Amino acid sequence: MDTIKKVKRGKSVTPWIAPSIIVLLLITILPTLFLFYLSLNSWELATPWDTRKLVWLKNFIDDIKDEQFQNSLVVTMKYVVVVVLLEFVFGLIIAAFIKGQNPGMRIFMIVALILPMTLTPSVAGLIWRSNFHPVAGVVNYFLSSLFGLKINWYSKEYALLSTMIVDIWQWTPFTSLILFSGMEAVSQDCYEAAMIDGASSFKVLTRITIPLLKPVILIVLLMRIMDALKMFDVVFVMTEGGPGNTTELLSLNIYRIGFFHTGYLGRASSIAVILLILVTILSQILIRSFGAREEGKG
Amino acid sequence: MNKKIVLCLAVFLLLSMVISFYAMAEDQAFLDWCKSIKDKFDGTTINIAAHTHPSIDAFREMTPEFTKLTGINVRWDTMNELMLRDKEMMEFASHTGVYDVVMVDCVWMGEFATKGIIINLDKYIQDPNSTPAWYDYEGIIPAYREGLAKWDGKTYALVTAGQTNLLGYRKDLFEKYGIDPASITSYDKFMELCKFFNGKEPGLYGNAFRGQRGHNVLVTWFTYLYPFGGRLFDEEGKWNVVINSEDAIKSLEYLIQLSKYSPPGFENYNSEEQCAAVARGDVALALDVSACPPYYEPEGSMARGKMGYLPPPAGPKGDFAANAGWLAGISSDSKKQDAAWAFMIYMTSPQKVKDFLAVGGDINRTATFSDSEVLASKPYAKPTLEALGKAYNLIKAGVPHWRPPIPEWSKIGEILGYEVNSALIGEKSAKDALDKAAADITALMKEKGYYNK
Repeated sequence: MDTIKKVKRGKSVTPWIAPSIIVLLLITILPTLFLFYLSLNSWELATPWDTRKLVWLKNFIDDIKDEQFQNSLVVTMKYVVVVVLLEFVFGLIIAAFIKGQNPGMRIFMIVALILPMTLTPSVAGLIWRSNFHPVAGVVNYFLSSLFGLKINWYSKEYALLSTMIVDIWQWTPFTSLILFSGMEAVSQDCYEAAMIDGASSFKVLTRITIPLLKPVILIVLLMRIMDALKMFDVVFVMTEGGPGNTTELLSLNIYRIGFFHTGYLGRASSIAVILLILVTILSQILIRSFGAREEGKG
Repeated sequence: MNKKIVLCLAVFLLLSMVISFYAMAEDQAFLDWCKSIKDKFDGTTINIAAHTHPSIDAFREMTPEFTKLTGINVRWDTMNELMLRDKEMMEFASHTGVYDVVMVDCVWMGEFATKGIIINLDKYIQDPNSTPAWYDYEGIIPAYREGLAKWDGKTYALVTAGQTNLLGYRKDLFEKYGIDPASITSYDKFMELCKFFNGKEPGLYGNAFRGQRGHNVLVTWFTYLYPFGGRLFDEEGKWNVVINSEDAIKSLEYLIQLSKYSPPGFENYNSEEQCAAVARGDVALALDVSACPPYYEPEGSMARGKMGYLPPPAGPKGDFAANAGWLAGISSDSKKQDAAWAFMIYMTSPQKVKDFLAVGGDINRTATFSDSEVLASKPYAKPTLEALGKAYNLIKAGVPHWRPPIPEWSKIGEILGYEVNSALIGEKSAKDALDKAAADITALMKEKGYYNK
């Protein structure tokens, strides 16, 4: 009754946000709850739903004991740390470089940077799988012509590196553009004051640019960490997790156990839950550490 | 004397006429059947889930004529063979009924039949209206018809690409170095030649094989496993895992040695990349399945017209080859099963054999091996027949299936495919890898109740 009165008076917001809450419930919350439920069951793909068996935490215990899962966890961490760090550093350098250019050059560089991002990841994977081909690939052609080097990019030593290079190639433009737009928002007065005081370029970067870019950096790092943790398509197309399991990221481990010739959907769901928890914890740590510094500053 | 010649000629002419009339009558019966199908299904569209394979390319080429004659439209959904199974399983799990015809690797037969993903085809095969006499079901190579298409005594599919092993070699290189290809009668000789050709010319390697983790490396290794005396199970029915026997370890060590004469990157090669290495002219020898030749020598290939073919050599403990292949089944969720069956028998009919072979298809019918026209145009036809004899040797030796098509095969393949690939890239020794595989497969079979039966 009260709600109706409030609506009539135009004060209640519930009816207005209800449609979006219902949509959110249907497309994200319910599937996530189903994922949690599935992770507590043993159920095989293409078998009747009634054949599922509640095993509680057995799937999680099996995951932790599984050598291939442990390996995937390590590979994923290496992948995330290397690609996010390098994409951030290269992104910052490129953004600073674009900032120093004239308007014409800026437009040219921005257009050039957008190109890799527009490629569908699976297409990018296919292109780079050919480029990295040890015998017929263009990368080895240039490496051997210029430096006399021939690298077996499909080998256990280089396979992970090759997938990292593709990720960095495709997503450094993203970090560059976001950081560049952040730099554009920083007042020019700060830089002018620093120049008058005789600050070096490095000091300008560490004392002015980076501190003022903190909110933007947080967004960039959050988005890239979450994306890198969930990386699937490029690596799947390039190596399918091989050779051995040297490039088997957690997302590929989930796919292999859930679908790829096995069909253990309960086990796959439990790994997906672990990945979800991991993404949530990492994002929270990042948000809190940046947030704490912001508060400390205030 | 003249009379005898005239008599012989007359008999010959008479026989030719009888055969021609018979063939014409058969062709007419085939065309009449097409017309009857058109009356029933004109405008119907069927969807097919298929894998990238020369036989599928050939079927696709033949599809416009099929549509013209029967009025059935065909939509092809072609994907990598490894993704195909997942796609078919997912569609079945959600009962979408999107696909009418599903292509099936022979080794999935047990899983697909017991889970009910594909239907039992006996009702179609035994019904003369559905399977007219001209189809000649018995004319399909018995090893494929009886050995691949059946599960638990019932037929679930029709063979579309029966396969065994073939050894491809570069005729020009063998001639240049004065080597007789017929000398490759043992695996020792095969290794010796791979070593000889490796680096013999700029950019040339001894051989190329599929080394990618999973299905691909397994198909490669199983080619060597049996001739070296290795087995997966001691006996089908008992299911004791013997994959870590001394012979099996030797066969894997042989493959590891062979990889030293392979192009860099072999550890990630799938079927397409292995074929591409041959087509680029990078290798002198390639031992793989009999479906490969059309991909070895496509138009523009460096190896075009330069390839010769042999059956696989004999191993130290047996002269064996693969009996494997791809089949077409009808999805249990399909609403157009009769139209799907019409498509399947049209494409695999004796009337279409030559069209199928002309565009890269495989030999699936016994009569094809005695067709002089085919033997002349397909240099791999005769070695394929010889290799099939070696596949039969394996059955005689007590191994009814090259890869057992039990419902657990996919999981077994996943375990073995990982361990064998790990050994190939030097992560583990052959013994350690196969010991681990044997323990994991035994645990799986135990979990699935195989030892309680």
